[in-house]
Amino acid sequence: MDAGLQAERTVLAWRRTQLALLLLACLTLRCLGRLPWLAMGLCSLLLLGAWLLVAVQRRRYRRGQRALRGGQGAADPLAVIALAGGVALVALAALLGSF
Amino acid sequence: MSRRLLGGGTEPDPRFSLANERTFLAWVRTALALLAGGIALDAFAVDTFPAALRPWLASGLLGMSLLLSLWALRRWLMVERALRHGAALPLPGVAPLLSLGSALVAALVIGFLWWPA
Repeated sequence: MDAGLQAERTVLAWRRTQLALLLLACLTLRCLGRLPWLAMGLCSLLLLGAWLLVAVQRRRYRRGQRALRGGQGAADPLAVIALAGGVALVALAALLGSF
Repeated sequence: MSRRLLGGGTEPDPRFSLANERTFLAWVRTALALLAGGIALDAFAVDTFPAALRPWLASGLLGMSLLLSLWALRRWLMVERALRHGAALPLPGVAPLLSLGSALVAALVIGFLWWPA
């Protein structure tokens, strides 16, 4: 059983998501000319989200390791809800801003 | 709180929970890509599309991103619950819809690139 690798793969998946958030933050800066407040708001939100992801990575890895050793407790609803909610919020804000 | 949300049953093999989480993150990255497409369409392609149509194209992508991110959350929850009760995993019903929607937007973009307004 590859006990150690699953936690690492999950952390890497979070890192890939964090990179996508960073790229998106840079992209919103391109809209700075047209809708300055919305662009700055979205950019800040995305950067904050990306930073939060970095901040919790070690805790995430240890949690995954503990879960694999103990055989339970790997699900983390709070992180999932926070991320999905954050992305939905950004999409909604951009949607409203496009009109 | 999370125990109530996840709906009881037995704790699944943590590898399955982690795999579910990674799948959720993959769907979120797809939603982020659609979000980037929508923003780019809004920010860049000023001359290619008729002024009336561009917000709709951008909104189409942004709307898909919004729906997909919420769907990904729901799916994560449904799969986690299915794992806890040893039930069959639900099929990702959104996948064909997503493909259709993306193909439609891509076709429109290609169309306007070759035959600009």
